Amino acid sequence: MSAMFLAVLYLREQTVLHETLRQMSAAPREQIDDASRAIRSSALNIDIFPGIIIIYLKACLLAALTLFVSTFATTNIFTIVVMVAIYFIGHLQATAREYWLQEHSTGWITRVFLALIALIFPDLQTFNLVDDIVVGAAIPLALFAKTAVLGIFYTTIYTLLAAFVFYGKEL
Amino acid sequence: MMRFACRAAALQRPVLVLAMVLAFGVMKLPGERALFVQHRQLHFRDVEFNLDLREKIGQLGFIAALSGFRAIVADVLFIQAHVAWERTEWGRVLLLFRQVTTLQPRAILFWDMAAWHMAWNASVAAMNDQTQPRLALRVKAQREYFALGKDFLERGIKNNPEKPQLYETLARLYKEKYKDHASASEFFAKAAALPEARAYEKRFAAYELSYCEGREREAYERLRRLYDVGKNERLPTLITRLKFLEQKLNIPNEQRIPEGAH
Repeated sequence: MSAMFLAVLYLREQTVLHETLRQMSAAPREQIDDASRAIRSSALNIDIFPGIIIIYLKACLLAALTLFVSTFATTNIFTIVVMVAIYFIGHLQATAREYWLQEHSTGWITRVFLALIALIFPDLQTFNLVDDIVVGAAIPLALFAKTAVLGIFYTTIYTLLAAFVFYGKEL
Repeated sequence: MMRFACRAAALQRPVLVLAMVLAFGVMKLPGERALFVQHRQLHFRDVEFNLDLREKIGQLGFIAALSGFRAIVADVLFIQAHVAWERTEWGRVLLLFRQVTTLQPRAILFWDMAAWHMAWNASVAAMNDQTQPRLALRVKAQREYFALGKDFLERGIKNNPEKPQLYETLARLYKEKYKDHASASEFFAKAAALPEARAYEKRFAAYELSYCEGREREAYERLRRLYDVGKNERLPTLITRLKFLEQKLNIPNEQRIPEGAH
């Protein structure tokens, strides 16, 4: 699927490039270079690959988490509903975590609730690098590496937990 | 006693799993925080998911944005804004572009298009509005659209301070709509100072300064410096403005650029 996506993106980039060069044939060299650079930076560039890998790691993490939930869930529908909820909570986890870690004069019930959200759920917003890649932001290698390590760490832990719970089941 | 022991043993594993999940949560916390801080430094997570955003983008949009489809929601809203523009529904264009720029504050195109629709398209439509017979009210509406365009650009610059495109658009807005050449020059100069700036920004900053009453000397010096850089900078507008300032400032003949200079 990724290969097909890359092929389509490459073809579209070449089409737009040819069209732009044809339309700007009379323009100064500097303007043509600017336009070509703008098209290339918005289409197939090296930052797409970290984006694809991070999406894959996010999918792995969610699969591992689903496996873990399914080890104590009694029905498929329960697993699906819980995972949908976890998916949304995971995207809000960072908000809860930051609110919890900053000094706010909230009651202890709120703080315990926020702490549980922050500790139990994964931060799925971390894996949404693609939102920034599509607007041309470059992803530093260190950031990509840290995100990938965190993704692998989450996936490993949730898989191990799933295995641990599964071994305790009476089959 | 035996039953109690069995129950305790059965409860042991879930408790252990919960403890392991919490321990893992404590372990992952520093890593998550470090990444969050790095994202903020790179302006990656500039969108705050709060009630303000919920009001701006509606319930479905908010849910979609929450589920990690922020960029896609912004693109869909951008297409809707384009359709609204084709129908000249200016109120809807404004509303949709507010939503789009809220969801994708790092996309230069969205800020640029929002400002263009407001300050260039909607303002002209307001001025040519046949349903409003009073000129004063048409001018007022036009001014309001200018201000909306300016607001988009200012907020765009705030979100993307390192990109020269929006400084340039704001400079053009001051030049073409407000006829404020001093501000236009200031923003062209700000754009020129950035690493990704185009070569003409510096020239444009000097051109605009040459129209400012009382700043002719400064403009002359800047234009002269550009002229002295070499042939690539000696463009027709630069020479025209330089000659105009030479006359206005009574520059001695020996210091003036040669007649027919290029």
